[in-house]
Amino acid sequence: MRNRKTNASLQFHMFLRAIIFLGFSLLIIKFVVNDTIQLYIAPKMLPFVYFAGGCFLIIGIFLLFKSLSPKLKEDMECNCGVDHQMKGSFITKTCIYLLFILPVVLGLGLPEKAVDSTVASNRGVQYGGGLYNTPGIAQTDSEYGGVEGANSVSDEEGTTEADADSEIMAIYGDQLKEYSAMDHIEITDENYLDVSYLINFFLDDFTGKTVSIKGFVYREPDFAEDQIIVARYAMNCCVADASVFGTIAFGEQVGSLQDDTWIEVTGTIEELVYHDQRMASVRAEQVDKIEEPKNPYLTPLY
Amino acid sequence: MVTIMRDIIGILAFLVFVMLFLYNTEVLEYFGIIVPDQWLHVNTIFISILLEAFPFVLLGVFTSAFIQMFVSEETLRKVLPKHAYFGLISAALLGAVLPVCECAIIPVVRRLIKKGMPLHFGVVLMMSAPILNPIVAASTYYAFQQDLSVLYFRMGLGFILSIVIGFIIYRLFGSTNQLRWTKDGLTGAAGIRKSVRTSKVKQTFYHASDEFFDMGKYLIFGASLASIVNVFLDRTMLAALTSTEAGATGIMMGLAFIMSLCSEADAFVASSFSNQFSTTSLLAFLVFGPLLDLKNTLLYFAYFKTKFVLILMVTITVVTFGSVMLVHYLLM
Repeated sequence: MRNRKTNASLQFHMFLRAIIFLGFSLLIIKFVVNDTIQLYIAPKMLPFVYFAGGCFLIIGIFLLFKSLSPKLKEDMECNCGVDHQMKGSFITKTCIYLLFILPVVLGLGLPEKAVDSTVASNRGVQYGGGLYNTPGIAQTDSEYGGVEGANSVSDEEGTTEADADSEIMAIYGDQLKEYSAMDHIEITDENYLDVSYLINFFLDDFTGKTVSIKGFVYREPDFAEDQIIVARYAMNCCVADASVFGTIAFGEQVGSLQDDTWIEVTGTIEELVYHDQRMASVRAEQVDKIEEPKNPYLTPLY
Repeated sequence: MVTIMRDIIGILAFLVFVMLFLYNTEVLEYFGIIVPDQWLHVNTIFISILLEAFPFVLLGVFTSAFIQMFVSEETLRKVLPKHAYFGLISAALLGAVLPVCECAIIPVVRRLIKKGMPLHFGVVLMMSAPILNPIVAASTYYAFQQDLSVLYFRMGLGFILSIVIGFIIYRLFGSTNQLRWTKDGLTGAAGIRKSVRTSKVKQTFYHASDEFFDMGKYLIFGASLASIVNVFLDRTMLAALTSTEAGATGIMMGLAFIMSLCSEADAFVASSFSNQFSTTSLLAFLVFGPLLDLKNTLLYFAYFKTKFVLILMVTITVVTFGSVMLVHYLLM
């Protein structure tokens, strides 16, 4: 009698687990079919996700068939001596299973949305393709806090920049030649980070050229009315590690744009000093609203 | 009666999944529920972290199940180094060769310890594998191209700290059993069940599924907390909290703990902080995060005894903080 009872309980747990595994595979299948997987995972991680989806499906089907077997308990006897049943009270078990169901329900049921400007304000925008983040180049710590201390740093900037120069030329020399020969630079998803780095680091070579750049509208709290950031997220593995890159654009046309609108701005590169950082900005001549790209995130190429 | 009830629960759950799969957000609209944008972002990040972690968790539990089924205790005993202290170094080197991060290494180490590997070797492996790892080295290289000392210090500290922590754990715990499941429960039953003949592949599946559910609950819980922090924490304000080097290091370590990033991607996040934080504190972020974060703390608690985990956490924190400060004053 007791044996039959534990077998039924085992069967039930295995049935539930099978359902949950199938749920996970449904979740991944849906993301792949709808082509929304890019909202969650960088392209280079995709093979791993396919692997996981396949595993979930196979284990799910396997467990589902096994859960129907009346001889499950004997079947599961192995010499590991471990009790395969979940421990804890009824409530604990329910909570644990609910926890597993949660991502499936949320993932399938909630609207899918790429992170936008509300998250960007908490992460802080990086200008110039990460130029101001490289520790080799002198920093001003006043960008966000508005704290004094920029004066001492700007003195050092000359020397450290010279040190870093040769290394940067080694990496970016060829690209610099290529892009500085152009009059108009089209910034695409593929060259975004490299080009914005180049334009900011060798600002003198690029001032006056025209450029077109895509992104969503974002504003810092202290911006003037005709200033916006054309911002992009760059993602390496998952959204948790996505960081915001942006270029400041200004002009009469941009003032009326709503935050998070996707736009393509064409204009002239001009020098701008914002929070003691010298950076490239775009004087907008033409602003077009565009559709949000299928993959809104940039992928650093390496 | 109970059986029917249970079947109904399972089938209902499945129907809910299929409904949601087919109708997506229409279900939400039908009930007139509107979710604020910020919570949608939390959801996106939550799902994203899970999608990233699941493949590696699966790899980990399959490897663990595979070891359980196919590697005998005798084989393992023969392969393992005999000397307690030299063994620490070889364990750290083994960690360096394995290209896995923390999600995958913890179930494997638990299985190896169960099979008779000494506790401190396991600890060294858990500490070294997530940092000393070719993929992590590559991503750190690209994120800190301008200042490769960060890469060298990260790898160097990862190697030394894993050995130091393993050494401390050996002095404190020796070779006592700190796993939640006793070793006797594992090996003792072997004699009784010898007669049962079931296919090893099938057993591997059972083990993998059990282990997935065992560690998955902590992963999901950790991911949900981390995703909330990710959306609501204003990172740009952190730098204003402190002006001392030690304070900044502490903040970055705390941040590494709650953000629970995969060690393969955290270098890019660290580099995004470098206009607000010093290189030393970024180094602390990069060394501490893979060793100890919210996600893997929950896993440690699941697998090891509470007292052991608490002491391990204190050891990791003190040793990391101390060594990073040492590097700061002596070398930077």
